[in-house]
Amino acid sequence: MSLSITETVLIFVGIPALVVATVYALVYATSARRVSKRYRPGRPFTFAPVWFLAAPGAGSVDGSGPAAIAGAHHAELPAGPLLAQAPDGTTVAHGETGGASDRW
Amino acid sequence: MTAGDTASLSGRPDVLDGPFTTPQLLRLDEALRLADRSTGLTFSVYVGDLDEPFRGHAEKLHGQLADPDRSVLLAISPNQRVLEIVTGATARRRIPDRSAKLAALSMSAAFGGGDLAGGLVTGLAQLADHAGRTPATT
Repeated sequence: MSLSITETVLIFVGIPALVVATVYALVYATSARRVSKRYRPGRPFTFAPVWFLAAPGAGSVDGSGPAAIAGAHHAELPAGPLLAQAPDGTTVAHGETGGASDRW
Repeated sequence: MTAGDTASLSGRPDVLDGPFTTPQLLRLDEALRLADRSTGLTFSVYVGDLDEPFRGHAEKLHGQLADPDRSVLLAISPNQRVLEIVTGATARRRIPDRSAKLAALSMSAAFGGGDLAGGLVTGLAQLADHAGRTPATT
């Protein structure tokens, strides 16, 4: 059995390189995305603003349990328009509010 | 906000540009739904920048909810490291400010460790716990 130099290089260098590249791509594709989702205190937080409510009407449709749960995703209010409206402050005419504040 | 606009143009949900992974979103969804259902109040979570009078901005956001008197807003600004809990007039009777402060303390402890989703879930559970069961009116 005689291998030419090209075949030798292909088998003993090409195949290992291919395997290494595949594993590298797999690891990088999954972990890089996950790490970028993390919030680290002190580092700038560059994500889009999000606003969550529970699914509207989820409490009233208790009869249709699985359907309600399957269909109930985050009823997210569109951040853009709402935030654009925010400085106008036309809807502050409700009763007094309470609550708490904190920092970290 | 520009990120949200481009995302909606490309047909991708805006939530995916937020700071949460899909499992975290599911946990948050579950916590919100449980809190709403057990208390009859409306809980809402905002994560993003707040303008300079933080309290005032959070109260404005709270005022934009459907029924502000029965709503509780958790507003969190990770950039400014600020956490605001706003309770409406009716909700305040169920969740006194001292209980809200207690929930805020445990939430900020989690946020200081970098765990946004965990802190939110804990805070929601605590607030719902303090509010207690819903009266039959809902």
